[in-house]
Amino acid sequence: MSGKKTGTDRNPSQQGSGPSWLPHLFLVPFSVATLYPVLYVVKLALSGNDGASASPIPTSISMDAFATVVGNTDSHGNWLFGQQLLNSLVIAGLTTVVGIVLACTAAYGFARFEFPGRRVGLLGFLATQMFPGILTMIPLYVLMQKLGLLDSIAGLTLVYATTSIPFCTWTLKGYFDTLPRELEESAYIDGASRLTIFTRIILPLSAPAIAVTALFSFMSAWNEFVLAYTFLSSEQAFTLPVQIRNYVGDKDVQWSLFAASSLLVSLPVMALFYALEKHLVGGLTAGGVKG
Amino acid sequence: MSSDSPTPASAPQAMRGRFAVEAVVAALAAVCVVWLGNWGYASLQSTREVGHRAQRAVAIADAVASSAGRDLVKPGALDTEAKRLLALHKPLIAGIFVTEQGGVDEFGIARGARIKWGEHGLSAATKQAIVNQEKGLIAAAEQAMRAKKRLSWSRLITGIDQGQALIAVPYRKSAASAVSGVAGVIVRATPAPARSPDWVWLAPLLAALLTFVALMAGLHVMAAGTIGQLGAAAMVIFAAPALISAAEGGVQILAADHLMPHDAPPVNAALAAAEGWLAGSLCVLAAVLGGILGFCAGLLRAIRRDPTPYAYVGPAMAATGVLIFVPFFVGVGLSFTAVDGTFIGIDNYVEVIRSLADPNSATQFGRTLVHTIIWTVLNVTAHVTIGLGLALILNRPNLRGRKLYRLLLIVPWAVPNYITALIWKWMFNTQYGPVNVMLGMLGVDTVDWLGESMLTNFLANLVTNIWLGFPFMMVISLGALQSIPADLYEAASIDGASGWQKFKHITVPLLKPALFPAIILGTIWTFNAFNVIYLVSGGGPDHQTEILITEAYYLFTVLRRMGLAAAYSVLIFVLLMAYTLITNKLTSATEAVDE
Repeated sequence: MSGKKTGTDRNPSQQGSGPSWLPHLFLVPFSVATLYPVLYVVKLALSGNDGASASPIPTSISMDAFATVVGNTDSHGNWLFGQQLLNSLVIAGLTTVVGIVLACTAAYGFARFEFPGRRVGLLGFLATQMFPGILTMIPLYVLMQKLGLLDSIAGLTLVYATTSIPFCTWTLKGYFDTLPRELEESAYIDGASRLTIFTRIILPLSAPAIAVTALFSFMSAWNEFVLAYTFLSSEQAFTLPVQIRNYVGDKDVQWSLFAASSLLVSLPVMALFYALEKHLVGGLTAGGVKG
Repeated sequence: MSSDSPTPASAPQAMRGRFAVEAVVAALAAVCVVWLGNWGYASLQSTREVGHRAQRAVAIADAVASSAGRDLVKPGALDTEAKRLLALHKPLIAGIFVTEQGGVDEFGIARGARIKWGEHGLSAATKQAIVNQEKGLIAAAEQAMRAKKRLSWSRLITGIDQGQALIAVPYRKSAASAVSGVAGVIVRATPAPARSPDWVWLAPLLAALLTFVALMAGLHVMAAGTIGQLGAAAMVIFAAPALISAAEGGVQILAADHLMPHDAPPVNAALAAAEGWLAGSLCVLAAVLGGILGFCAGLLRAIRRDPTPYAYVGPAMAATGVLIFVPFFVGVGLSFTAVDGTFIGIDNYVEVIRSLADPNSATQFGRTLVHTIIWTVLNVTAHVTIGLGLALILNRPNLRGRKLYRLLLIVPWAVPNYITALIWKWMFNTQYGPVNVMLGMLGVDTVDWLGESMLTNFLANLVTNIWLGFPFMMVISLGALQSIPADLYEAASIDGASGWQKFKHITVPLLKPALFPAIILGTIWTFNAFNVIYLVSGGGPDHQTEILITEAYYLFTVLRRMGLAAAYSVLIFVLLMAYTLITNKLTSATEAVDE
């Protein structure tokens, strides 16, 4: 089902008609429109808010905003940026590990076994993607409050990890489905157990798919905003997105700090995104179309 | 999925058919039970109201009795007191009286009981009834006193006007003397406690039937088709609020029982009514237990037969079950509760519906829903138009710089979307924002984009979300376009098809399978585009640019109305679910036709 089967061999939908500059007439303005806001953020980060100007070219280059963001400390002198970076890393990392471990086994179970409850399980996983986040957020908020996990990264990790399982499971199941069964059957005949087959054959074969899924899981946890914003209340526990939002909070607005921190936080995941984007499309359409 | 199901198609088909019958029976029974439960709940409410009134009436009767006991001989004094009480409690009591026990008078002639005074609000028939039955009344009162019950209810008095109750308290002249008579009040007709319908005895039968059906359903749900699963889910959703009310109602009945004397007639009537309610709740409890037991039994049987798959799937299922499904159903349950957590049935939904007609209501579900739909339609249309248009251009042969363009055009997708939203908040900044600066160059006055105008706020949201969303549609379209075999076009060219004909008969049909799921996905994302609305316009001005999900968030975090917010979320879920199912059916139908 993935749309990249044809590879580099392009299949033109139409014979080229009109002058060769015509496409660029459309493409250039759109490219400018997509790039402009991002370039402006770079300018804000480097030259600060230097008054009304439409040019996205930095007027001066100063690392002050970056230094302020990275050196952010609280009133007790604790290094907030380091703490928050650590929070984000730990949450996203743990989410990925827990999510992937559970999703791998589940995906293999769904892909290779026929058992009562399989359909319910798969459909149930699909349905979770449609639950409005706020509906589960309210009880989770109360639950975390009762457990004393409300303002902690442990609580958030738990929530992120489970919400990532269904998507990871569907993506991985889609990949496992494409692996030929003959491989396993011959191993089975040679006396290998199910577990051996899973750990020695399936997992190594799927390493690329697992890596991609893991990175997506990491990215979505890294970029999550609403739950973190609602559950976390102390600066020590903030993840980076919450901190970024607070730079442009209701009381004091510091656009240059926002710009600098946005760049720090999003450049790594943007790079990841570009590296993985092709796989994401395949996963989404494969999972989204049908079971 | 059909490729890896080894069972012949007929077996699941038969199973599905059988289960459909069960699901229908279960659904009907569940509706009955929920109705029974709701009706019982109403009767419980009126019981509490009756009990409350009874308590006040007893207090008044006590006061009268103590006045009579202190032998305020002068009838005039008691009369004044009685008039005062009557005026004070007019909605509650219809009359006050004091009787004097019959005895032997100074001439040795036996004298019947009489009403010492109490012309207040008593009909002649009532008075006669009280006089005639005073002996029994006093006997009951004495009995009650011996049993250390403080008061006696006039169950014995017959002939009281319909709907009225009589509360009588014995009094004595001094601590040592015998009962001198009774003081009482006639309580006005109360909101009649709902009585058990005559067929309440059906409830246990219904419970048995429902348990059986649920047990079977639970057993089969493991192997059943979609209808069965939907039925099971519906049953749980139906049962959850009824269960909550069952637990809570049980406690309240116990409490009412302790507060009220046992032979109090209004309470008796209401208890009788409540028994039907309890029966209804028991039905639901039985059904849910049966369902759960059946499901567990089916699961255990399947696990014992072959545990391997469950070992693989189990941990992930358990985790999602506990942290996604349980909160989901708790959330659904919350939508039936008030601010203080008490069960209020569908009142939150009623409030949502009422707000449709009331422009001053705190919630504006109707307005927000319309706004959300307009928002979604405009966005998705723009996403598809721009995305598909760019994809068609990018797919032209011999286009220079295709890779670079593609790289640049998906930038918005790569930026985390909360950052995108904040960037655009900057872009629309009144003072420094590049949008206003550029408009200024064109000679347009400064626009206060995120200020008091609904339209400019909406436009700011819209531009942000269009910017953010079109690359996804573009990438999907481009992928689909590139997978269309070139020889189709060549063959069409040879047959003399025009460019438009080729687009209409080759490109569009072959794009559909990839584009429809993307549109469904895009619609769901846009419908719930929390980050954009919350971070750009914040729903302002005055909540006019809220979409449903941000309004729900506002209800939850600012107004702290969890129940109402949950009701909103349930409605969002139902809307999106219906949209997805209908669209899926429609598109697969058109695909079938196209084939």
